[in-house]
Amino acid sequence: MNSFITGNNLRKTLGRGNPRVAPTQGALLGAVFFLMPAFATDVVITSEQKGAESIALGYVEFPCVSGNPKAVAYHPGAVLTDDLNFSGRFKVKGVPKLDSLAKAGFKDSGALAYLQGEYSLEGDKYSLYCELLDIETGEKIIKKKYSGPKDQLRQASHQFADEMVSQLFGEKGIAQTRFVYVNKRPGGKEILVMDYDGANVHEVSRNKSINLCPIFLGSKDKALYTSYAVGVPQFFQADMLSNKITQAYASKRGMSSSPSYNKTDKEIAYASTMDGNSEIYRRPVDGGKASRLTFADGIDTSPSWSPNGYEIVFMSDRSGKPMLYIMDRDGSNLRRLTYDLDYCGSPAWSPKGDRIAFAAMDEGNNLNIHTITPDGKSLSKLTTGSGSNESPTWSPDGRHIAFMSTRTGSPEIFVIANDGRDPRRISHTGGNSMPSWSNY
Amino acid sequence: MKIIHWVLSGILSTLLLSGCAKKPAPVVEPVPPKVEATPPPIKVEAPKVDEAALRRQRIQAKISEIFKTIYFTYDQSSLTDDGKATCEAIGQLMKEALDITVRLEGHADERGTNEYNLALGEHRAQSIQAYLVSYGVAVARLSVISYGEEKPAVEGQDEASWAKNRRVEFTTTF
Repeated sequence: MNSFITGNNLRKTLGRGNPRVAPTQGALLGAVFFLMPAFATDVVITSEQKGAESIALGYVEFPCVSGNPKAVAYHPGAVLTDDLNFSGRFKVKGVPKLDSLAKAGFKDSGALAYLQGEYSLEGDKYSLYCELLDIETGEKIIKKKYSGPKDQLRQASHQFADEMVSQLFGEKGIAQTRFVYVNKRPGGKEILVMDYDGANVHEVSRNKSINLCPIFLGSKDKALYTSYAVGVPQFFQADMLSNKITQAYASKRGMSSSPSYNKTDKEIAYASTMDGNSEIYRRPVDGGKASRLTFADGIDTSPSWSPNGYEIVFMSDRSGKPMLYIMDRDGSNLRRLTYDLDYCGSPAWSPKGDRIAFAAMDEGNNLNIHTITPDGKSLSKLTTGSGSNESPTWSPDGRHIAFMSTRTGSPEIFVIANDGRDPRRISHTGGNSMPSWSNY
Repeated sequence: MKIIHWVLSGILSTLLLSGCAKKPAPVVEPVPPKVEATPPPIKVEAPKVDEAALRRQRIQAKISEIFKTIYFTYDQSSLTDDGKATCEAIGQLMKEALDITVRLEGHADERGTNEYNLALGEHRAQSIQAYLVSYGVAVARLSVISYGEEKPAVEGQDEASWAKNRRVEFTTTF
């Protein structure tokens, strides 16, 4: 069926100078959605988060038509609308039921389409039906049905949210992504995994010692982290599907920490003290020969790969204070990136390649999240305040940054849009730090 | 008659004399004081001096006194004068007692990033290791581990707390 939306092939591209949708989104988006001629015309909307308009949608609360809604601790419609709002691409106005008042409200908010659906929870199975309808014509723009074991209902909501992003923007959504992170407990720190919205927390490490620096290895189900479980910190790999944990390789001396994964070449860059002070090395993720990349006095750590695997940004105090540097993957072409701040660390290269996020002190002792272009020319400060804001990590689409913040007291994981807007708190249990965002 | 007279008087006077002479005091044999019979001496071995135990005690006491935590200035891994003095005393003791081995545990305060602080703690422990090696202690007796900012001695967000966390601690085996 050739709906107006899919026929128009909405597509988002990055970049400056591309034509943007006019600010009066109601009028022009209306044109985009419904007044375009039926032949396929590409409409291009810039996907930069900064100042991007979000699409207004209505939502009619999904009823539970069969079974007990209390069989799950959430409402699947609420999970869906949270996903849509979180993405920054939509602004959802919810109503309990669809009557003429609701419809008028939708139009007032500029919504041209609304969500409807229902779910059931019979026995240990769920079913979920979602549809997106045109307000004027009632035509079903998108519709999907899901079913499966009861504990998968939440994932089905996430899947529909991603389906909407895919059909309306031609891009992958992040509603099914996850975080690995560090959680402090008596006697040590363990690695945990959770959905990107903070649900479904599970343990990854279970060794009652100190575990740090977790990263995903390409997929959402494999992680690498550094652990004191066998003494001096070494890398361990965790397979979260089989629940198996193995030591990645045994380093003969020194401590291994701060890994970054290059999925193109299946290798890690990391910091090691095997040759004395902390230097950056590169090696295949499953072991094999390590190549040393840095040779200066002082501390070199926190490497982060560029998305194409050609370059590495890292932190070094070789100038006298911790700053960021970039080098090619073999350690050559080394140049300094940051100058005007007092302390720069934990860099993370955006999956889009266009910016590097990092933590920096500009005045005082507390760290705030900044981003900078790889040529060093454009610096943005994304967080402020007296708490400490550290360990930035990018969503796979480059539209969001998660980080640790002590702004509420105990360390917790927060997310902001890549321009610093719309801060959201993800974790609530206290003592949570060092998040790493998975791939799709 | 005169002779008889003479003999008689002789006898008489002897008798008289002997009769009047003081009787000597009866000789009393001194009674020896009543002494308990001394038990026969038990055969006891003279106690040997335990050199090894004495040495252990002495060195253990020195270890407790000399291996004091060393503190650092913010973002520095170089030794202060106090730190150097402690290292000298440690070096001396370790050259005297060759069976002491040490683990040097480096730490940092919470400011800055976790990864950098892991490396900073290690750098501090390594700088002490280097000092002791140059003093003459074999490097095999000195192992190094860093905990970065992960094991603070004092929880607190002020300089007084931070100063107590920028440290190297010693764990000795002897």
